[in-house]
Amino acid sequence: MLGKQKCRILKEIRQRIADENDIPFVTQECRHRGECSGTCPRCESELRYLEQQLDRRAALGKRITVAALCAGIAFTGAGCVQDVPVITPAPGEQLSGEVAPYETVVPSEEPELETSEVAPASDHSPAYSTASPGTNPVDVEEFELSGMVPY
Amino acid sequence: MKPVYPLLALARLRMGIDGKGVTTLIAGAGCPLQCQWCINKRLLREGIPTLVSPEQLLDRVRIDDLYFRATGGGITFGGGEPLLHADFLYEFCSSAPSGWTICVETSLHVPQRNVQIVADIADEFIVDCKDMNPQIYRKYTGGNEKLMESNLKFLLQTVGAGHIHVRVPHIPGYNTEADQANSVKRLKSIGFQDPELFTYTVRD
Repeated sequence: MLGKQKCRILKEIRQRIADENDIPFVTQECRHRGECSGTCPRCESELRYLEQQLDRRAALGKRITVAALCAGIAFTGAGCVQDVPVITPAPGEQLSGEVAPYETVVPSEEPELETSEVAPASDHSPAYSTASPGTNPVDVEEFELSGMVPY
Repeated sequence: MKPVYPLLALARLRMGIDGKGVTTLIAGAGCPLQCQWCINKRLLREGIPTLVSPEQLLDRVRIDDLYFRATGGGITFGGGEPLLHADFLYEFCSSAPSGWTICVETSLHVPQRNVQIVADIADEFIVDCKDMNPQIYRKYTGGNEKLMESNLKFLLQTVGAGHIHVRVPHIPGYNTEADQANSVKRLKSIGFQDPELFTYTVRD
């Protein structure tokens, strides 16, 4: 699945979660033209914002609805293929990348992401990295299972 | 002592590939089989696994908790052979938040005790049976088809066919479409009515 398709689906999921739980959430169409991994710092910050808001609602005793909210979303795009090669970063390799320009109206109370959680925009970079010194980085964009094909 | 997992790779936000909803694939090191066309052989050979505890792995994958719960997705353990690390999987799944679907992609070429441990806590199994013909199975994998088949029957009795997705590959150089058809026939006689046929992708 292309990163852009993935990004659109994830955005739809976030929007549904916000709508269902009466969380103020306004997002605009991503205008990034280059490669996309499906997520980026802006997307991640929106996700963290939703988590924060849901926690607040739970603390106030309000109803939370998340389970199976998006079970009906189609997860296979047209012409869906495993289009990204296996990437295994070398030990110690810095796994950061260019951040996609993304015009989104983000709520002012969004949390700042740690650098280690930032997902780069490039398809050839890992989804995120939390590699510790002395360990082999283990995050890859796509890791192929033997013979796996889309459902 | 808490079990640890030899983590080789972790891939977030997968869709429509290895389970329903949004999934995170966790690939571990180690496999009892020696399949010629193993697509992960290079990574399994060259990658240096990082040993992680159940809590450490949970911390890493929890980032997508909302996506998992909203879509019915969750974690897929691949490999390598994840059932080699059955005790770890049990600990991990026991601690995982409710609402995550735990899927295991396996060859079932492991001791039955391992299958039993994970059958109690995993939601879905994806089984690549290779080929049900003993000669083909042994030639291609170096393993014993009797172990796989007995575990397949055990798993069927334990979790039911609805939780097991059996796949039958066309293995270039090792089996034919007729062999695949024979495997499907054999699987149906065991109780799997809808095995999936597919073809291995062979790369240089």
